[in-house]
Amino acid sequence: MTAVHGEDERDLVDRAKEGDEEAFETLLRAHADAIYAHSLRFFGDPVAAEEAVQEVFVKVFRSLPTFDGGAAFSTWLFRVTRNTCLDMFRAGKRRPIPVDPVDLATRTTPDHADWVIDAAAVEHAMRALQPEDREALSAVTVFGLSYGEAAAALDVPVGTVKSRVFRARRTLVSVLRPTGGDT
Amino acid sequence: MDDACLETQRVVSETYDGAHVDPADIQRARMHCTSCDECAAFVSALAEVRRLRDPAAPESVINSAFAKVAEERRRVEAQAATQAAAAAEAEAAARETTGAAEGGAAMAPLFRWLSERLERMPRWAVYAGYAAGGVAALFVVGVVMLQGARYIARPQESATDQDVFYVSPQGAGTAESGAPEDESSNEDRAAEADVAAESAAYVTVGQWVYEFVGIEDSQPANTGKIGTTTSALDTSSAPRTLDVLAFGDPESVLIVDGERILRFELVTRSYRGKAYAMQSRAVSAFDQWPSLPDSYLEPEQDDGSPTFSRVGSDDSRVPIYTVEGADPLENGFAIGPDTAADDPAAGNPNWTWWEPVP
Repeated sequence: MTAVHGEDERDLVDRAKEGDEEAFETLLRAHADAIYAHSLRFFGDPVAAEEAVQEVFVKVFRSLPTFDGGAAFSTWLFRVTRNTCLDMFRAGKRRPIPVDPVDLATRTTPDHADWVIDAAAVEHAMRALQPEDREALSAVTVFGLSYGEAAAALDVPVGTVKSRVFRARRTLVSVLRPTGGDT
Repeated sequence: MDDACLETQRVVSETYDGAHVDPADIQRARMHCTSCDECAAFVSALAEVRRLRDPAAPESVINSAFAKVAEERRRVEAQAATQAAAAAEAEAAARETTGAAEGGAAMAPLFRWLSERLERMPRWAVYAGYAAGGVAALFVVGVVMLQGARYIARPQESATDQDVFYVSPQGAGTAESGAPEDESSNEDRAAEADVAAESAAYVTVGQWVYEFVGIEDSQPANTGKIGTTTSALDTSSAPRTLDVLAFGDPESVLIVDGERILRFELVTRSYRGKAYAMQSRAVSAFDQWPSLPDSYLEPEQDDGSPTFSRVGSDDSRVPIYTVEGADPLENGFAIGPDTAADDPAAGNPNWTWWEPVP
């Protein structure tokens, strides 16, 4: 996806708000991966993630006129994505698939010297994180929010975001370590 | 792992996120990693994870999402076209009314013609015409005065009894304004004066809120049970579980309580031309007001925060609120307390929640 930042993004947002379909498409294509990654890690299910992406796109289409530009578009989009996943979960439409620790263990190379992490192993490890740690990590690393922006989006203090992200990383490393290694 | 390891890993983590970290702390962390396998492994693992891309949205997923947006765009455009057509119709109707008024001007030539005819008539004929008109006018005035005198002489009903409803806990209640009643019914009414129009008279079926609208004379045919409600059906009895019956009107239900058949209607309001109905925690007596369902925390401020933020107004220009990022059109919205007298939530001191009518 083509990344858009700063002035370009603000211009796209303004044009999309005025009904420019091309600007709307460019804007959402630029963020589609982030929306999908967050949803996939929330549900652990590509079908549910696809449904969430659809919902987020439609919500952005409907709600963009109410976006006042007070926060960065990515901060607003992260909130919309997070709330969409939570709403789908609360409404009972979709439930996160539980992660199997045994499955996690077999996805890492058992030899320290040969320690290679593949993407599938990381995705499984992501699913083992506490939901609040995972969403903080998602806000910062997937949506690219600063700690301050993530704190505002999650409605928690900056220090809480920092500690959640740090705890998420430590858990990830711990889960991804070769079996038999100490933690 | 000791405190130095924790501090090193924290510094590494924050540096990775582009946060401002004291250069001296970074230097200390670097030094620490040269002598600590644990922290060196942590840094390697983070680098390895960072090397991998986050899951990318497949093209098919993006295309299907844009297809949904296109569908939504068509729906919104169709709705706008319908509203525009309705507005045009209303404008045309207004023009017709104006046209009728303008029709008066079209009558001017007729009056001119009559005036000219009168001028040409003999004087005696004109006077005779005036006299006949005067007699007719006196007759009309006499009839009106006679009717007025009869109205003044008639005993008046109490204004305070009008437009209030009442449901007797013993049964045989009535809800008609100013309708003649027997004496025992009036006594009951006095005893239950607290159950007046200003107080709440709601039941909840599931989370949907229904408002009492009247007593039915008989149970309609083809009723079917759609659920139960727990309500006292007054302000003083113990709540009991009662069957709720549907009878063809999708927004009305009946509750049969002994010999009484009470009719309730779904409490609704309109937003962007779509009907939304009130939802609430269980309401179990007639003096209880509906409130937010359990899934929403009571706002602390008048502006709905921290639970809600304002997102616009409904079709009656009443402010609506919702949770951050949620779509009010699809997920519903909250209404603040103490709305105007003509609002469906009038008199309610609580925040209320409204969802699309199923």
